[in-house]
Amino acid sequence: MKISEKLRQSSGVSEASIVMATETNKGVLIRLGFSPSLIEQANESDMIIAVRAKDKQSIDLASEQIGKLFESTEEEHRLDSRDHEETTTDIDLALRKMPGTNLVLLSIPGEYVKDISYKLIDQGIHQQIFSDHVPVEDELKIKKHAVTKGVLILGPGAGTSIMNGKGIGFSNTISVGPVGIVAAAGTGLQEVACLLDHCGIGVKHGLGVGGNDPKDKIGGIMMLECMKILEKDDDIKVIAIVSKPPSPSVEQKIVEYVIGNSTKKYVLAFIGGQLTAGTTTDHHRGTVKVNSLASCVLAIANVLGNQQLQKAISQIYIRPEGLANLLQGEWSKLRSNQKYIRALYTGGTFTYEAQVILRDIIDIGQMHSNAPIEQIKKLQDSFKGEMHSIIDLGEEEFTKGRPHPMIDPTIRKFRILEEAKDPEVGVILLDFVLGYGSNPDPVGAVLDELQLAKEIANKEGRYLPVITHVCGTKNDIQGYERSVSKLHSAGCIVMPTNALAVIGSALISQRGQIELGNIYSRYIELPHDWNQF
Amino acid sequence: MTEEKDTASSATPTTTNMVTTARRLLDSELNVVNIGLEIFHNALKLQNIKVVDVNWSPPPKLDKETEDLLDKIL
Repeated sequence: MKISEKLRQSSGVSEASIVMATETNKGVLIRLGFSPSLIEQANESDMIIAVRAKDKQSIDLASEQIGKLFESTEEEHRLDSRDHEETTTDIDLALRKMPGTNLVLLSIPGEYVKDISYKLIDQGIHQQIFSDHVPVEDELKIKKHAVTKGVLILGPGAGTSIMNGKGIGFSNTISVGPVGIVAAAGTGLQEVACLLDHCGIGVKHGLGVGGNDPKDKIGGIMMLECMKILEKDDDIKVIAIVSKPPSPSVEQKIVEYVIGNSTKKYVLAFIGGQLTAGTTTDHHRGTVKVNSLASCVLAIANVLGNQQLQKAISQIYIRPEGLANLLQGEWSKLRSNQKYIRALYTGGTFTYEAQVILRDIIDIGQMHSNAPIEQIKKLQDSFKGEMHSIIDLGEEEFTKGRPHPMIDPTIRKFRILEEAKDPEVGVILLDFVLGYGSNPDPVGAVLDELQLAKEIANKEGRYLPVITHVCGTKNDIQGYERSVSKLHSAGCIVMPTNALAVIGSALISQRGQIELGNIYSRYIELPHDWNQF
Repeated sequence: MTEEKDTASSATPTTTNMVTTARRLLDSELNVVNIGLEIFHNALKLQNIKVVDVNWSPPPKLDKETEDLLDKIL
């Protein structure tokens, strides 16, 4: 990928990809406009070098560059290899090289996880399993075995954890503080931790248990263990559970544990869950229930004190009338046939939350996604938007044999321009995730495409709003303020939270004709009867 | 280190071990072995976390007869 990036910077080159000829990569290259007949000739073990440039001279220059870049990368690798004494191909050797190994981070194909995990469990080694597609039967066996040995299993499918301020996997630079988080949603954990950081509230530990854990098949095994672990930490004052709605039996276990045993305050953030009267707060135990990431943060701040709540409001909340005023200038420039929202997400939890909120606002019959929630239609072709389309670019059809879109922006760049060409698109909605593991400059990587998208629309007499939010902190390598500033320079709207970006996109597409008060009360604001505990 | 008692009525010895051992992990210096994606190794290094990297590849797929034979020998 490094060579592709350097090649794109060559004079006259508009697109460059150097990839293995996996089916996904070949499909992407064809979508990018490269010759199908040539691409289909490549086998899986072949490497494809695809370059598009303005003229023959630029192509010849690029070809020369390719040779030099490969040579220099080999040299860099040789130099790096001498310094990377800590790299091996043997797991047992690695464990011997790291005496006192207390954590293994596992990101290998899911079918191979169980055997390796079992051996590590038998050695008492805790694990974070990033791997997807671990068979659920394997996950259950792993977790049951781990509990008998007192071994913590985070994941599978856990992209993020935080341990005493250190990030494991995709993670951000956040301050340490009085909050503990148990999450079955990777970008959900990142969003809550980053927003808390904006509000001056630190997180001590954030434990990712994987999306299957709160379902019936796994029964919340590690979610409950993690709650007990955080419960014992005297530095932690409030524990947040961040997840899609657990199965009813798991939710019951959680509530029973909290009511029966906890000494701390809890915020249960079940994204898209139903809030029924009488269950939003349990004053006896200080448990509050919310259904969005943004309101989770407000609830945590509320628990910690009025000062913290006021700061949180100032950082991550915009009043409904303020939001409408801010965006009126965007929708007033739309043509009448510009109706649809096209969301191009890199974070799965953001995709999910967007659908949950939009389902309450816009015509469900017009909503589509490649990772649809209940009542939403599945896109016929993930590479092509239909009406309102909420797309998770991290899904398998985009990532098999390719880096995740948080790392490699190629597919998103292509999609931004495709959506810009569609005269029925009223607004593009984007997330940008900063931090460790992410692209060195997620915003910068698509800035040209964002500007070009607006030009494409403009040439056809259309105005194209782009609304975004940045999940990150000021101390992340990419820099939150720098990222926001770049987006502003490209004419993009930046919202402080995903929820506000989603609601903003609906406001634009519906020309301001939505029941903002109602939506805010469901997904943004705290209930009126909340006071500091 | 003495084991802490969980106050939950459903406490079992195994649950108690998990709380104790996991708290030890969370409050200690991390010594990590990364198996798989290099980006995670790099992310840990940037935070000055001790890490050994395993450039893992799947075991070769053998036919059943060869596998059975190897199982007998090894």
